[in-house]
Amino acid sequence: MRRAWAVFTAWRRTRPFWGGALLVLGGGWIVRLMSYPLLVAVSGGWNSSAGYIMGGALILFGLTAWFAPLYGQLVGILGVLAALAAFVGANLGGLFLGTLLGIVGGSMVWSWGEKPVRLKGSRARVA
Amino acid sequence: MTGTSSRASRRLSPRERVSRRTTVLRDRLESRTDDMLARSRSGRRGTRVRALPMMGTGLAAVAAMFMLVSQSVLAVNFTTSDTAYRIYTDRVSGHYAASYINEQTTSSGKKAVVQFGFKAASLNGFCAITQQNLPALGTVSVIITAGEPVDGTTTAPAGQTIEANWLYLASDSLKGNGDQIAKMNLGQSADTLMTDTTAFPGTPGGFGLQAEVMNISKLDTASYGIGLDGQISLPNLKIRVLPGSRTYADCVSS
Repeated sequence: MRRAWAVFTAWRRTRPFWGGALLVLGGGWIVRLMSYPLLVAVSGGWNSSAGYIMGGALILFGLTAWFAPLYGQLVGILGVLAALAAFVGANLGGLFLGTLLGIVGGSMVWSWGEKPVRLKGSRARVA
Repeated sequence: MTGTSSRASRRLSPRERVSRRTTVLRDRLESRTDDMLARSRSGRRGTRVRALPMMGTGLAAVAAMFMLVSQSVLAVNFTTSDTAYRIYTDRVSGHYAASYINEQTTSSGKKAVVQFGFKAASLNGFCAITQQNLPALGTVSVIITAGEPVDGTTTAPAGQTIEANWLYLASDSLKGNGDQIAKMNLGQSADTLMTDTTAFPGTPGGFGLQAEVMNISKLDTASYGIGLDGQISLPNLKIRVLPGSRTYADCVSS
């Protein structure tokens, strides 16, 4: 059990976990608020499926950040753009909240990476 | 030597082969996990400060789009299926309207609704209230207002009229004063309904209503769907999130 937690922590620390989580959350919220049954959405054209497309894209980018952290910078930017598009396309981006989560999450995924190490008591940076 | 070993592996029973394969996979997983554990200990990774300018840019872009929407330059798409909205407006001026009785599929089964279709509608004031049950926060009302204040009187200040094309409403209750209705057909078979030149068909033989001009004031509906095949301009857009259930009275207080 303790080992499982340690492995999870290691997994979390080696990828943009929180940014991806926010992207997934934002996308899920947009889809939830649109709340079309899937069958209606696919038969109803752009207006009824936009929530699934925009929200789905955000979820996809979040999962990509988790499982393929190599593409973090790319999906981070795409996530921010999809969140912006959702504002116009899908119920004002899930009444604002989904767009907000997407922008914050996307920027976090984009900016994730090696941090400069600060030594204790000194301001010197070690690459 | 390889010959003997391959002959030996051929002699393995299927169960043994599976168990050997599992061991290989488990070893690979373990070595990967160890790699990851080692990587997680070396160096510090995380969200870097450069997230802030990116976030700032994104938020500025949203703010800019919000401005464009509220100046009715940019039109938005607003659709939902099974969230019940209460919609209030001081006056709807609809051109080429039709309606019939329909069933709406929501995720909690089917509901009987009146399906309204407008080819073009201009609204004096728009106020939509929806309630969401959020975990931890309880009931939260989201109030979206646009155009002139919805207070029961039509003032129609310049540039504040909301224009919507191909507006569809699925309502299970609708109140209002129809104050100018022209060229109306009541009781027309629902499958022959037209909004101008576009068919808006319901169930054959069902009750249908069709009108070329339909102006309704003090509209109050409970709608399960606001559908738009066109787009809607929302001048002076405001979104407010307030705790608890909110009603018509909260449309004006800002």
